[in-house]
Amino acid sequence: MSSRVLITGIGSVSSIGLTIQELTDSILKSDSGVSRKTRLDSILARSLPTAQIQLSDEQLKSRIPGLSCKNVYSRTALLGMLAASEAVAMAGLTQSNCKAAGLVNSTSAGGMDKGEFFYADYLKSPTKGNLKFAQTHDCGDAAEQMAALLHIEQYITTISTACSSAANAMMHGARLIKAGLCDVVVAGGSDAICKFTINGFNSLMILSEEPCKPFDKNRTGLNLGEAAGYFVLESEASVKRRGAKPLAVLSGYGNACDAYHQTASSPNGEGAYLAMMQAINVSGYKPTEIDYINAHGTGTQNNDMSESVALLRIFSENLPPVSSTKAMTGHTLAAAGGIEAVMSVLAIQHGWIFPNKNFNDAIEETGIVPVTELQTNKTIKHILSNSFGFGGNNSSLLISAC
Amino acid sequence: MLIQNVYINGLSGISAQPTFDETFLSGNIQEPTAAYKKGVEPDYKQYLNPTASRRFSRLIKMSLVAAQKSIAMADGVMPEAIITGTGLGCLEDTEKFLGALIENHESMLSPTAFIQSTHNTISGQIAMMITCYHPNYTYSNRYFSFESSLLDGILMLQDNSCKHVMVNAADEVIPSVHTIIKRMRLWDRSESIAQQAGMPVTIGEGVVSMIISSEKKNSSLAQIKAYKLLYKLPAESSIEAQLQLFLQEASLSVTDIEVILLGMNGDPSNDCYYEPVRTMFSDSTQLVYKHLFGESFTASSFAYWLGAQFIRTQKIEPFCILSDKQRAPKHILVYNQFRGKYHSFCLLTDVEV
Repeated sequence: MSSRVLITGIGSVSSIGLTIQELTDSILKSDSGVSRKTRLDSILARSLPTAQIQLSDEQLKSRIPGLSCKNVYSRTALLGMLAASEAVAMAGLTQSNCKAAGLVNSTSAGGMDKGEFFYADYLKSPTKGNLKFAQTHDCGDAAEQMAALLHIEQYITTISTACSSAANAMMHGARLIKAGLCDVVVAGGSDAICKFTINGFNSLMILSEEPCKPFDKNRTGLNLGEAAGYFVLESEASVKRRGAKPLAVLSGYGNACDAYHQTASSPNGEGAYLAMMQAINVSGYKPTEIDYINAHGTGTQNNDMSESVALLRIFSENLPPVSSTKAMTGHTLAAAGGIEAVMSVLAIQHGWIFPNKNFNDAIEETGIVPVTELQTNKTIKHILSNSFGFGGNNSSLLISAC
Repeated sequence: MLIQNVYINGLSGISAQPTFDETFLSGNIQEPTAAYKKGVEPDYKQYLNPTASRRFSRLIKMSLVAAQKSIAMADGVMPEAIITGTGLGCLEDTEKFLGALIENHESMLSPTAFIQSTHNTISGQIAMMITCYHPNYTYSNRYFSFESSLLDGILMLQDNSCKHVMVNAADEVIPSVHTIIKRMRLWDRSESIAQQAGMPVTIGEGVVSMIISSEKKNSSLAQIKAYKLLYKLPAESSIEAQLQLFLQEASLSVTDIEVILLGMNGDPSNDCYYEPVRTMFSDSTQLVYKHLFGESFTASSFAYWLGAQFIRTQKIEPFCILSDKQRAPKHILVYNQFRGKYHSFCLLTDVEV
């Protein structure tokens, strides 16, 4: 029953591009979406750098044909719809392919952007607040909206495991395909910036006042971003039947729990170590065959140290090129695993290694020096993409050339 | 999907009924005095240290205690995955942080409520409580929140990546959400389930924790033989046709199902979808439970608790009976849906079947 899980479509929306083409152009220019420009009406967002998509909800909505003008859509749903429809179009799925497909969505904030509006009115009086806003609050709303747009009918679900969400969505999708329950699964994650998350991360004192510097000795925290990254995962039989052209293979995946602290990572990076090892073991490849690691690398003291320790435990002196792309996209929470896996597919297609921007000095204890300039013309066959989150949720994907 | 060797080896539930001490099974039925079906909470002191009791919301505490009990029932196994389904997550902490954010204009916020507000807090805290480094998942998708968790757990047992998986359901009610749900006319309604006298369905809360294993034990409660989730019925199909197919795959016919557990909730726009199924299974004893447990995104998890207990005890709680055919429960079909979407079928059977 076990066969390869192929990737036949990718789609993404982020502060450095509303389409895969725009993302590709931004990567070639090593652009960063981190800035002090804010669309979000928040005191904190005005004072701290973030990586926002500078389009209003109405502007996003106008880019998606077929949405009802009467409906309220959370920003998370809008970002998800844009990226997932790009992935579906790239894969060339027909409406009848979609009807039999599954959707494994993921988000951490869900419709909190609309929930905040609602609750501010509700606090004035329990009879106040637009219920249409409240109805988009839960995580499942975005999946229903996306399924309606894409005509997905067989199965929908949503994972919410903080910053590892999208990677976990890909794993559930892969299991559905391997078990033969679905031939095609649209999987990924979406998260919009809202007051709740920016205030939450600020209360944890891990937001940087400067553009983030992943893996740098003098790193001062992370920059929040918003994005969506989606995949069409497909069985080999379905790819053959449709005559589709696979872009890459989801060859391995691992999920482990750090079981250490609700928000902090352990000093020995146990969860990260286990997740990466599991991904490598599932793929059947050897650690020495990994050509590039797209690290979680948020720019916080805690994550980058813990992840570095875990990387050295696995690869020691044979560490492949490593970089974090969060200085380009910001930390996009549930979407991070999605957009970083999308970038991993681009790295395989184009032979790229991404720059870890803003890096100057290595962390003394680990000495890891990430790649700082875009490298081209590389042969990239296997990429490990890490996504670690709150609650000890650690996940790692291994994406390979076909 | 036909399933080989998936046994329910540990099971506990905290709900509006005395399910945690299991006196519900000997006829101890509660009529909650709260405006909604509030969970009958255990004495946390027996299970949690005082710091945890002070720091955690009711939902996290209920989940931790239920998890302890289901592990103990399964002879103390270390689950090789923890998967939790929650429709609305940790509402108490979410409201606390959101309220403070609005009232204090985005300043002077303590991180505690934020940390405990994320949906994955429950699975994460269970993992920390038992130091479990294994896969850890949280699903949150309306009426598939628990169902997807169970599906993923079954897939992990079937692909042999795990031998024991903990699957949980968890949802809490807070007064403001009760008010909002009432305004939406979603779950809190004055109508009662047809033929069940004077028991309108309201919003409910609680947690269920189960250990599913590929190993059969003397203490196994029941087994899961077949399982299917369907978000929407295909246009050319019907619910009857889907159920026929489901039973056929398990080499069973409609008459083999002694008991059917239905997720009816008193809302005519929802319960009408159960009518064809009731007609189809007219020879089966038909049970309902949401008048006792309340409705929520994860209320269906109580049907799994009830189904497994009825199979284990070979006795059916009379308060759940909608129509009685006096048949011994060896094959129980659990069916839930919401207004024509989110169909879930599960075939629970006696361990020896």
